Amino acid sequence: MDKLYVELFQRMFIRGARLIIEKEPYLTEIDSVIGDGDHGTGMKRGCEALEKLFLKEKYAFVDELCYAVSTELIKTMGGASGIIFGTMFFGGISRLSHRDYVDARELSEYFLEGERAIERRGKARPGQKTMLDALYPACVAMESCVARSSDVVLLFKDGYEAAVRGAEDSKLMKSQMGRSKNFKEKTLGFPDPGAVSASLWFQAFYETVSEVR
Amino acid sequence: MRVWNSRKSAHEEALQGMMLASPGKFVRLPSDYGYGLYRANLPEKKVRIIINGGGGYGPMWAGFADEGLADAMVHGNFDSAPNAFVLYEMAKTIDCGCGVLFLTNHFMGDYLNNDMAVELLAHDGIDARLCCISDDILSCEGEAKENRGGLHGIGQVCKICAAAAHDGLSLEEVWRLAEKANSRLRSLSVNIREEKMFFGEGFSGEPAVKTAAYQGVDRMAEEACKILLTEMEQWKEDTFYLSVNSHCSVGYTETFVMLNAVAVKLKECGIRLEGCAAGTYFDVFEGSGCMISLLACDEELRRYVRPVKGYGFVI
Repeated sequence: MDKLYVELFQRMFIRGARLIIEKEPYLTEIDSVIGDGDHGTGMKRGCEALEKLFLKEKYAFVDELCYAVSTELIKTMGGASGIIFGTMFFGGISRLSHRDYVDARELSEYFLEGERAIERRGKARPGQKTMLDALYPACVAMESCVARSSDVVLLFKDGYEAAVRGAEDSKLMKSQMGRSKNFKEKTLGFPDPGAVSASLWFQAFYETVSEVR
Repeated sequence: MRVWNSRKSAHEEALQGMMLASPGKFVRLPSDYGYGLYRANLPEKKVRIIINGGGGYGPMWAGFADEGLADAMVHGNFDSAPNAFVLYEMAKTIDCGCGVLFLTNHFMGDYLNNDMAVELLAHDGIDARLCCISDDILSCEGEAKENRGGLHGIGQVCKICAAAAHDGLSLEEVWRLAEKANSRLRSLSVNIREEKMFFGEGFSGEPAVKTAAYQGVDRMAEEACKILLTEMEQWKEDTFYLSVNSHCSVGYTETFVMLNAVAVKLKECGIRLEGCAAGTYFDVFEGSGCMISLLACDEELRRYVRPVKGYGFVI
């Protein structure tokens, strides 16, 4: 698949929203141990709003779709995670063309630019036990994938696998950002809830595109 | 128990009350995601100033959308930053093509939401800048000044920006003045309890950084000035402005005793104090004690220091 059309892109977001709503109890559980426990409910609130929005709205252009996703998350989630996940889908919009499809290279640049925007805004780097520990490896994997192939399915496969590995690796890290940094050593052994959420998005993206082929 | 129907409805009801108390003065921003008010009589063709922060802090922020201060205010729920989207909606509503300056205290949620709002506006081609006030001298000890939190000194920065915008300065210039004022602003919280005085207690229950036996206001003012002036030595030849904020558990008489004690002490230290004011600008429930804020103005900043009156307080 060389082109990802906006209609399928929208279905990817719907599936991501549903997956996160389904996994909310798990996200809440880990955030209650190492954070303030609101990550899961915040993500769920944003994803429910997204589902509701998509029941009535269909988008004709990929940049408009991504804009709508980010602003809906920012509006409804609140707190730091609303901004961070909003930025994940907003930061790279300038890399998307104003048309009804996007190719693998643009997608890779879109996610990488979003990741950079989070680093800049959050004054954070990968390795501090944050969502970047899933997003950054996913972006690196996607970047190296487009160097070899223009297949969108392969792009999300590589991104998804790297994100899951990254979330898993975050178990070995001590929190250095946000409220969970106060828990220090106690955070060892638990994955970062934000990293898990980021990997869930990529899981849903990959599952959606892989079923089409 | 509090005088409201519920914590959830309190902000909405309070803003309705404020609007009833000043008919025609404010316009409510219609939004499902936060609380915003802007002035009904916005000046023509000027940079807009939006002051914002968490909800439930007394006149900060709800009472700051007024002449000589901000054009609009946005606040979040109790102790929560306002939502980026509401900041964005407010800016879009009141911008007249000259751009928008966001002023907020430097806390993670406030910074993130304001910074996001600036980016959302850039996407729409609207110029916006952000200045995060970091005047709390005893917060984030050992870290860079930019990492510190904000207290009530933002009121002084806000009035300087308002005067600069009023004089027709560009967004870039108003923002630069805000940053300059912030860099020359230091504030400190002081409190007394059980024969002891406390310096640097946070308003969300963070413990004091310095504690000593309480031996009267003069000794407390002396210590407070010592702490504040350690970082203001370089501006000793400039003009200083003092602002004392008292939480509502501190009486009117006590507040002015405090202002007097600090002013006397500053004079002894050879500081040229050009203006002082006291009031309850920033208040938290169960909050006690005062906050003392000093601003050192050079010639340029002085041009924009104009008293703000008529609010039940003077800044």
